[in-house]
Amino acid sequence: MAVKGEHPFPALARSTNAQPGKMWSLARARSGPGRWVAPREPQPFLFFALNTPAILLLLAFVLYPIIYSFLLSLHQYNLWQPARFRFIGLDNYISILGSEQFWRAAQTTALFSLGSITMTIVLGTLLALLLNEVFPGRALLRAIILIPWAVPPVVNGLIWQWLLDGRYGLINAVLVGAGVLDDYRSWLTDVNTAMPALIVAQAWNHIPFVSLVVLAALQTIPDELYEAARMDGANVFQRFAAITLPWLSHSLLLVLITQTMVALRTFDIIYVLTGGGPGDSTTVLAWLTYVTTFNFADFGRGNAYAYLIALTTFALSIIYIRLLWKRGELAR
Amino acid sequence: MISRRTDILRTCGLMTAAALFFLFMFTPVYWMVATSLMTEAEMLAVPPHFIPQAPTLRNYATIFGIGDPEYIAFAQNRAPAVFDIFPAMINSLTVGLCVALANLLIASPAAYAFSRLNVRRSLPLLMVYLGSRMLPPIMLVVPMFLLMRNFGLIDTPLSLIAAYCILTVPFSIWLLQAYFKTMPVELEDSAVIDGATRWQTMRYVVLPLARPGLTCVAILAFMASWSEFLFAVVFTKTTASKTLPVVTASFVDTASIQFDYVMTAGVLTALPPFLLALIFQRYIVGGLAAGAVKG
Repeated sequence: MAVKGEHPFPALARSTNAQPGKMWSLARARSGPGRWVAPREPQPFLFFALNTPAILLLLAFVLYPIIYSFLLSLHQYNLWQPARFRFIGLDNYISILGSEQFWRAAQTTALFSLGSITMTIVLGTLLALLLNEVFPGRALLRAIILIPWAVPPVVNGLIWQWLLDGRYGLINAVLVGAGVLDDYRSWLTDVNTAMPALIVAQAWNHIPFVSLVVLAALQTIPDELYEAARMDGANVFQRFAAITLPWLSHSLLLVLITQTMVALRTFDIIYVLTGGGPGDSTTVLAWLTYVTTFNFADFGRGNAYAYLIALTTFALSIIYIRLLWKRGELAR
Repeated sequence: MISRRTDILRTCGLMTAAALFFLFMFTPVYWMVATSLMTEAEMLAVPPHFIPQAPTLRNYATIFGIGDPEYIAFAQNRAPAVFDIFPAMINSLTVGLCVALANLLIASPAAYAFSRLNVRRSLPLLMVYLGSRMLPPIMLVVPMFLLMRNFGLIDTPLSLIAAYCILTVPFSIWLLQAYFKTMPVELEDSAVIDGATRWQTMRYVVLPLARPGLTCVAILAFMASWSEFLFAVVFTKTTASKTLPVVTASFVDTASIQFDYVMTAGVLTALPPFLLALIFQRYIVGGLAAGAVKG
């Protein structure tokens, strides 16, 4: 059975000299990449039929939850005190924006994001530059580089907890053995070292991804550019600044976007490594939302936090998308 | 002569940098595997043994309930969570496979529609899919928890499958439609010339050609569900639905040092993603690069 609207003899349709614009015009003339050949009319009905499962999924589990979440954020709603459920308008938001706890968490989130994004991108790019050179052992390093990326975040957190352990940890043993430290330290319960430890663990997990994306871009740089620059007497740093970096800017921007999203939603390794402490020194917004909602059962306030995080993410996305748009990357 | 010397210097420099990166990137993984092969006494050695002196698979055997009954009883007493690991593996596997399958079933028709049906103004819908990827999961988890509670689905694998579909399907659609667009439409043209219907073209031309893309989507969906923690820790309560990351993280609450078991659980949690990453590296890197370039 032919699909409705299809020519019974498409080969014939090709060979006949139908007028352009009519249904069976010359296929080659108008078939660009991604064009169906026989019925070239758009098929909105089939399009929506094929998208229905995905749309239903989105309506049920994205649209409904975000509306529900917003409505709840306008209520006083503690699961432990269901009787005191009542509409309070924007009071949750007002109280959050006036609280020191929120602003401290926002600062912590910014610190964590900046630290982990910077470390991930700098080390990831360096690793990519290294893997783009020829040296013995490169094939091995390239083959196994995805392994740290494949480590689930919870396991990542547990590995670093064990490495940083205050009594039996490998890092303490190595540092004391090398004479850098006099005595074992408990890194994760010290206000000064908990956040750096978290940043290192996070970066460790995401460096492979960044370096593979950057490496893919590095491999598309034509050698002629470097040769021409060498002819002109540019040294290695000048070549990097004038050729490599501009060529990479697109990939770096994309990596920046993905890493920002990852950093803002980081929750797992905080759960495992520090639990938001010591004090509230590693309490990022995602963690604060989780604790408010599921430890204190304050669903109204928790939803308000969630909305504030979403708005921040949304604002950042718009900035990034505009940056991309300006560069013409999304026009395609 | 001079250039030869600089070449050697250069190689040495590169190898030193490579060695430093190698140490930083792989010592943590090595130490996890090494610790999982240690007995409790050896794990607590100060200074630590960099190479296990008497490596043993006893920790692994204990997780599967094999071995000396006396030791198993001791382990039961020391860390009861050890015996939650095996059921959690089954749960993780069930959830991961269901999510991978659901991704293929939901995302490939949608991606086909975007790449082949030539519908004008389809971009906004694609942007909606893309935008739903930007939503922070913490925002979805709270209302979804209440939703699942109302349906009585808390502590069932089904709640996790639904949640993970939301986290993975939009990305899969995005990735697959980009992949379909790179496939030459000429092959489908010639199938049509030979009298194939649209369904036959999709079944016999598009899907076999798209196998690398479909594999990549399935693997990434499986890996994402296998590693996910936030929804898992909120939606699950007992071994009926607890997944591996939840059980592995549950050791943290205990006061005693149990890193021999924790690292064993960690190896088992990280092993499937490791293997998938190594075997399908080409597909994954290609897919991630496409996903990153296009979105």
